[in-house]
This record gives sequence, C-alpha cells and structure tokens, in this order.
Amino acid sequence: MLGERRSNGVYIDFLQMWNKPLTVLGCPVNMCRNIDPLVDSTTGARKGILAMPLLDVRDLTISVVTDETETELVHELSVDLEHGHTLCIVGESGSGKTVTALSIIRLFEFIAPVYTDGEIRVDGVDVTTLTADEMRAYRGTRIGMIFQEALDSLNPSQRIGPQLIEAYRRPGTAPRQASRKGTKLHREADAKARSLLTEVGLPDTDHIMAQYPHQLSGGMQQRVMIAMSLMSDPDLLIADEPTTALDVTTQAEILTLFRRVQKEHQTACVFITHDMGVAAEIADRIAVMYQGRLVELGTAREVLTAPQHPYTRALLECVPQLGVRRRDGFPTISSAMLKAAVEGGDVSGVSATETVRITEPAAPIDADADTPSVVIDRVSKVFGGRSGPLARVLPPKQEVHAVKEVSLEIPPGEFFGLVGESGSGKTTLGRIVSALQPPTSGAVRFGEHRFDQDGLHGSERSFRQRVQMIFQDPQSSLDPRHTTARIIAEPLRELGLARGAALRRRVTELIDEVGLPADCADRLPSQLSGGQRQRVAIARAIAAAPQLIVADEPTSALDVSVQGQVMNLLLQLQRSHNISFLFITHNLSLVLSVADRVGVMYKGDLIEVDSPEAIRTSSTHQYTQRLLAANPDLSNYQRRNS
Amino acid sequence: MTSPVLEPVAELAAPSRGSLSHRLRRAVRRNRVLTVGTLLLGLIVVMVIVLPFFLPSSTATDPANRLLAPSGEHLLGTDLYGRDVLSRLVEGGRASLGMAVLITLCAGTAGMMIGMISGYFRAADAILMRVMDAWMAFPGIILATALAVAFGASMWTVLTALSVIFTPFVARVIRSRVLGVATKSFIEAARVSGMGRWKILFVHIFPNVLPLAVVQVIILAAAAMLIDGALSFLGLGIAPPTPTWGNMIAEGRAYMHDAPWLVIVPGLAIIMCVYLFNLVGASLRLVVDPRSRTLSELQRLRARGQGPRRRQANDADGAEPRTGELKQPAEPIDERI
Repeated sequence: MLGERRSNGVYIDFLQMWNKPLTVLGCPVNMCRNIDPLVDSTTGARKGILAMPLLDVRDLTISVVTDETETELVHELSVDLEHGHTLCIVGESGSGKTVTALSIIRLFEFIAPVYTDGEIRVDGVDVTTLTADEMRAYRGTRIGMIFQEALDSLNPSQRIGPQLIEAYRRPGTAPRQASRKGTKLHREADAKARSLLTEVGLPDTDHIMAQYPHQLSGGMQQRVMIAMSLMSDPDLLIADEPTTALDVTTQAEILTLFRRVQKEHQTACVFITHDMGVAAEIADRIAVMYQGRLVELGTAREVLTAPQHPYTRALLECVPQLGVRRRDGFPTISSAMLKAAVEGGDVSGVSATETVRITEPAAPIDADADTPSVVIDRVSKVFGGRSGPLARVLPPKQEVHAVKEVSLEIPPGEFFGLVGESGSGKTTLGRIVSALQPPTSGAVRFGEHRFDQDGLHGSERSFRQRVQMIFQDPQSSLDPRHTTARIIAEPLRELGLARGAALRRRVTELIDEVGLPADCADRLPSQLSGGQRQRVAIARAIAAAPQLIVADEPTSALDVSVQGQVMNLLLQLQRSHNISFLFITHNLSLVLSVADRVGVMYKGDLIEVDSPEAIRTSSTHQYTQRLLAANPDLSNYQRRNS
Repeated sequence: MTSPVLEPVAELAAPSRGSLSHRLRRAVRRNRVLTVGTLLLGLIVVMVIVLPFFLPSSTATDPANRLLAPSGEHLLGTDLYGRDVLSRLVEGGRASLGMAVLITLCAGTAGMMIGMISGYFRAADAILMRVMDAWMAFPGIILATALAVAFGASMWTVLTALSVIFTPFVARVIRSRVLGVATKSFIEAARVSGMGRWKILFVHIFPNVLPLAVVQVIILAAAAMLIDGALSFLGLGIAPPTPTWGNMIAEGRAYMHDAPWLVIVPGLAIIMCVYLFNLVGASLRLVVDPRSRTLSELQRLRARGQGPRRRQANDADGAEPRTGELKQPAEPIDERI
C-alpha cells in the first residue's frame, strides 16, 4: 500500500518534471542516429542560400483539436526574419504569440494535439515536414530557446557546469557527446562555457559552474540561460518573455546584455513580449498579434511612432507613460470600436481606445469626521530568527529583515502608491497593514485599532469591515468551488452586515457597480476572464464599504488594456466612496500616473515618499534614479525617434 | 501548474457548459474505465446485498453432500460440512465488503480530520505529524494480534486495529494537499473577510480537498480489504461460523487438492474487488484532479511522439510524407482524448 502510493507520487512528480521546459531544452537524446543538421541528408550539400531570409513563416495556421471542437490559435501568419536581426512579437495574452514561437521550434506539439498548416522555413528547410529525429537535431544547434522562468528551465539537480556542457554540440557529433569527461570535445565545451559565462557578465566561472540553479539569483539564472542557448551557436534564438519575471533594473541589464550578445554572435532572434516598452528597447522589427492574427508588421520605428492599425495604436495608448497623469481615467481598448474600425475598411488614423472620464461625485462626501488616518509607526518585520525559550538551545537561523522601521501616514481618501522590486518588503508591509501578519516591532494604528506584535487590539470585526485587501492573482484569490455571488457575499455574511434578501440585493448591486454582467452571479471563477475575475475580487473588497483598501499588485497579472479598465474602476471607487488606497506595485509608470503620493521601498527601507511629479523629476535618491532609468518607457523612445 | 507553456492545455480543460444529460453522456464516453469499473463494483455490492434472500442458508449443514463439485444444484459446489459455497460466498462478501467499507470510513474520517488540522494549523503540525510517524512505525498485524488475544477475535478488534493502521496514511496525503490549498490567496481573502480559522477550514479547505480524499479512500478500501482478508485467514478476524472470504480460504486450504473451488472462488472474489477498487480509484483521480488529468493527457501526447499533423488537403498536394505521424495510420479525432 505504501509502495503503491509512493510509486504513484514519484510517477506524478516525474510527469511534472517532464512538463518543465528543462526537458525540452535538454532535448530527448537519440544516441543511435546521428544527424548533422548542417548537411542535407539526401544530397549531402550544405544548406542555406544567402539571399533567403533565415526564418520565413508563410500562411501559418495552428489549431488545437479537443474531442469535439477545433480551436484556431493562429490564423494565416506570415513573417520573415533576416540573419542577425531581432523580431519582436507583441500581443496580449491569448493572441497566439507563444504558440507561434513554440511552433517554430516545434515544441507545441508536445503539449497539445495540434494541427499546422502552412510553412515555417528555417534557412530554406520547412521544419513542419521534418521527422521527430531530424527536428531533434535542429533544436539547440540551429534554433535556441529561452523561456520565461529560468529556474524552471534549468535542471535543479545538476550543477550549472555540466548543464552548459551538455548543451554543446558540434556538427558531426552525437548529442551529449561533449558530456563525456576527458575527451577533447568536453574540454572544448568547457572552454566555450567559460567564455560565454564571462560574456554574459558572470566572470567567476569556476564558482558559477559549481553552483546549483537555485543558488543563483533570478537575473543570474537568466544569464546562464542565455549562455546555454548560445552553446551550440544557433542561427536563430527564440526568447519567450525572458525578462517578464525579472525586476525592472535586472530586466534593463538583461536586455542590454541580450542585445550585445546577439550583435556579437550575429544571431537572429524572435523575441516574444507583451510589453511595448521592452519591444522598443530591443526590436529591429515588430509584429503585433491580435486574436491569432498578425495585425501589423514593420520596423520598430514605424510601429512605435506611426502605427497604422487601430489595435496597435490602441495598445500604445494604453501603456502607462511617465509624466502622463491618468487620474481622470485610463484609455481602454473597446472591442466594439476595434471591430468597427477594422470592418469599416479605413483603418488609418483611427484608434480603438475610449477614455472613461471619471467624474467627481455629484455630492461631495462630507469628510467623515470619524475617518482616521492610517499611521504606520516604526514597523519592522524579521523572518527566520528564533525567539522564545528555545532560542538559546537551537542553532541560530539566518534572519531576514523584510521591513525595517518604516513609518508612514496615509490620510483618508488618499491614493498612496508603494513601489519597489521583489524582496523590497512592499508585500510584507501590505500584509502588516491589513493585519494578516503581525510586525516584529512597531505598530499600525487605524483609529481605535492598533496592530502590533501581540496581534490586533480592538474588535477584529470592525477592523476587517474598515480595511480590505485586493490580491495579485485573481486566479488564486477566488475559491474555485464558489460562485461569484457567494464570493462577493462572503464579507457581508461574515461581518454580519446583511443577510437574506438584503444580502442578495446588495450582491446584485455590487456586481453591477464593478461592471460585471448580471449573469456572472452563478458562474464559477474558471468561467470568467482574467479581468472579470479581478472585478469579482474588487467587488468583494468594496462589499463591506471599507475606508482603506490594500491592493497588492492588482493589475500585474492582467493585460494592459484590462489593466486600464481595472484602474479606472479603482479610481472611480476611490472618488465615489472616498476610500484610501495603499497600492502596491512594481510598475513605476503606472503608479506615477495615478497616485497622490508615492513611496519607494528598497531592501526593507522606505527610502523616499513624495509626490509623483517630484519623484519623477527631482528625486535625489540614487536607487529611485536607477529605477527610473531602468523603466522601459515608450515616451522616451517616441520622443527620441519622432 | 501554471507553467506558461501549459496554459493552452489548461484552457482546453476548462469545463464547458451544456445540459446535464449531455454532460453526463460525455463524461461517460471520456472515462470508460471509470464507468465500467463503477458499474461492476456496484453490481457486486447489489448481489451481495440481494442474493442471500434467494439462496439456501449459508449455515445449513448437510454432511451427506459434502465437498460436491459445482453443479446445477450447487452452482459453486459445497464445502466440507455440505454448505452451499455460493451462499457462503455471498454471505462472506457482506462481511468482507462491509468490513472494508467500515474500516475505510473510520480511517478516512480520522485521517481527514488529522490531515486537515495539521496541514492548516502550523503549530499543531509539528506534534501531530511526529505522532503519525511513530504510529506508522507500529506493525499493524502485531497490533491486530495483540487486540485479538486480549479481547478475543471479533469484528471490533479488526476494525480498531485496521483503522489505527490506515489513519496516518490518509492523514499524510490530505495534509500535503491542505498545505497546497492553504497557500492560495483565497484563504487570506477569507481572513480579510473576517472569517474564523475553523470556518475557513470547513468552508474553503474541506471542499477543495474532498475530491482527492474520495480517491484516496477508494484506494484505501482495496488495501483494507486485502489486510482484512489476511487477518481472517489467520483466524484473527471475524470468527467462523460467520463466513468471510478470508476464513473461507483458510477452511478450504486443507482440501485444496480434492476441492480446489473452496479456495479459488473466494480468492477470485477478493482479487476482483481489490482490482476494481484500485481501478476506480485511479481513474477517478484523473477526473477529479486537474493536475493529474493534464499530466495524463500530456503523457499520452508525448507517448505518441508525433509531429504536428497536417491537413489532408495539404498533404495531398505534394508535401512529402516525411512527417513522423504520417507513418502511423491516421486515427479519428474523437478517440484521441
């Protein structure tokens, strides 16, 4: 019985491992057959004609078949890419950009039952017609791949060195032949690995090659990934959102590095991103995809400064920009206007955005005398240290100071933006303010409530009614087994604010107030879109009519256009209900465009609090300036190039 | 689970709506193994419950007709006291299946409670799980023997001993699942909504753990049945003359040569039930657990190891048939999932 379960567990774990990108990177090995990708197996002639583009995708249609339906993910896509150039494919989630990338290296067929139509020519060879063995010889050596999550793509049980060496392959050798120690090939691979590591900014090669992936930081892991993808000198590199999981400053470094390495190696690159700012940094040419179709293709300059298609234009307008205030509402993409613009035929000069004017409430809320400020008084949080009677007996643990003596006051009705990179302690501070996690020292005061290391003083019920929270990922913040109505009703029921018919009426009101269609009430979260899910989470947060909402990265899991809609909703609610916000984000452009005041956190310290304008123009703090410089921003590019 | 690469598949696995009967029919078609297994198991249970009313008494001895081979009058022959083996088999099924269900219920409930509490309350975890570890280290058969010696072999000693043995196994599996659910932010959202910790445990965590618990419990039933059979065989379970499959095998053992059906019939019954329990448990896991469902679909895809399929029309006009999958006969789309 025990054996049965154990083996089953291992089996599941094995399948899960299999599912990670690292196994497709490590490319299934076939030691018996030895196919030289550079030499045509039938004629023996070297492939490649100079005049031809390296990558030529013609009328590519990709559909996925489930038992009853066939879903078209990409429709008649045609793009091409010259040697040594970078093509950015930009689009929102579900636009088919990742599917396209995975199809070029033919990995998509491993994760979905897929039909393809059309051609993908790499150096003149249509990869869609290759056999599995022939394709295996292409992966790594001719087409390299970099995934979003570097940690997922590296083998956690192997040191960096062997993994890099394994990826080395010279024409005419078998896969993984370089892994055999003591051979000439192994020494060659070792030297190559060292030179590439130095090149990607990790000069301490002995140290790095002896490390396991988890011992490296996120940026270092992505550097190792870049080095690994270059081990076999591929002609074509596919990078799927390689910087999305990184902090802005790290992202800026990686992008610079990427561009330099790519220039030096003359590698062509297909770079997938959802971020127009990143595309502006790196692209020679940009392809914009929308719902599986290519809507615009042109040089970076054309697309970014003089976009032709209404969707591209709308997308560009939706991106928050430094120095542009959006207090009165973000532009959002209206699918009806987009449809009309496309079907109307004349697509030039039209944009498909609409801006909702967020109006001041007709009757200004009489500044409630009893609405207090939130006072954060020298709050610190230390993780991992030992305390209590056993502290002396047990070995000491390393202490992590997540938040260091932060003091702050948020007056009623203020929209306070807290910005910082991962590990800066901003989320921990948010959790302390919403009384989910007690501070190690210091206290948060909110009217008669006080929250310190002993927990919450005063009535928890009334505190919860006044302070609510919106979480980052609506997928995980909604119980998958509860309906929308039940989720929204939860705080009302738990805090005893309404029951019976009044509860149902209030839920219907809330659904309407956050702009959800009325028939959502009985749906489960899995039946809603990402934006709709976040609206449900917002409805839940405002249900109890709170005075403060802690919003922890509420838009970072959403597309730009949906981000605009959600921000508009938050701004509207702030005005109409006079709610104060503690808005936590890593997106500097976003927070500078909406917040009343902005605080910058760095390694647990609140280093600066000021108005957005002052932060942007006259910040004296070194870190803030670095953050501003690293922020991929469109307005800079457009100013430079128009 | 939300690897960026997997997202398309996850989307495809999203529940689609439709009328109830339509959904049911589709569910049956998708999970043939589960349907057949459940039906067979149901059939066995119904037979065990209903048949004794139509069969001769299982305790009616008839020394004149002892050790008869299967025939029209005694479908499965008679045993050494001339009792009808079919009657005893069905009657023994009541005891054996009933015991398996009881043990499963007891161990399942206890394990579920302990697993949920130790998974959610971190302070209780350290103590509870160490107790479970010690518990698991205790040899089950010896515990059962000791109880049987102390209190006399009966249903209650078996039930106690086996529930004690199986509880930690259930608790461990449930705990690991609770640990996963407890990190989801809807648990924190519930705290922000002012819900108490115990209520969160039952309103949010319990329903999300339940499907896995059901699977676990069905697989547990198979193991319980095996061990219960072994204890009966050793004479530590329900005592004769009440028949169980285990003690039927024990009694028939002496006549293995002359009357092999005495051992084969109850033996087959145990094998059949254990196999069906395992089958139903494993295929139910694929239905209720989205993670293992996605993984099994992924595995099937990779096992086939094909290239991307191209449309027939496209293949006809000259694309050379070098694609890996074209070597295999094209299969109808419906059967692939």
